[in-house]
Amino acid sequence: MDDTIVGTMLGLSALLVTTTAVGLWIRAIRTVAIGSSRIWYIAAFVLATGMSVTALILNTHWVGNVAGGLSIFVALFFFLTAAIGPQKVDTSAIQIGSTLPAFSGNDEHGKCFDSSELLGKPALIKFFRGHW
Amino acid sequence: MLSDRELAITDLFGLRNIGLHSGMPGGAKALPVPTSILTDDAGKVLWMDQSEHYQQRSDPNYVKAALAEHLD
Repeated sequence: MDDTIVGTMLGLSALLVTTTAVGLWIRAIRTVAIGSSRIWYIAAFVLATGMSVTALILNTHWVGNVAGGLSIFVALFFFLTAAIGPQKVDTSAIQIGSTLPAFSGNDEHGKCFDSSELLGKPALIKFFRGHW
Repeated sequence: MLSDRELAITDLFGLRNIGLHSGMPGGAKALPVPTSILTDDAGKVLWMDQSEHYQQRSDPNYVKAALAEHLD
């Protein structure tokens, strides 16, 4: 088979792999359901990048070039997004058995809340990023 | 729901993310590590769960199981 055809097919396939992985990644984020392992997303983005680079080397039709180039750009961006997520807290983080520090702050209505309101009953406190 | 844009409360609990990804350009300066903390009526921490990824939060079923274990 002609290299141009093979390259074009590779470029288009790479874009398909990339868009599928990105779609699954975004769906997982929107439902706050990213698993503890992101290896399959990373593998998909690496695979798509490899396919795209191969496609460009094979001197594809312009359609394959555009698909391959776009795939490389998107795959590398989401590869970094998926790969740099691990995080850690300082060693001073609150631990099981310790007592809540006193705190206060304004709620979404601008009303002041004091942590003393939590005493006398069990409480579930959640910290999370408020916007994406 | 409390707003903690300056991460004052987050720092009080020691939950600021000091990992590589600490904030988006043009967005939040830094992020808290997603954390769930269960306390008793005296404010003592009975259980807590921290995500390993800034885009993850505690699974609701996992939290419900912890509530059942510690409050029943």
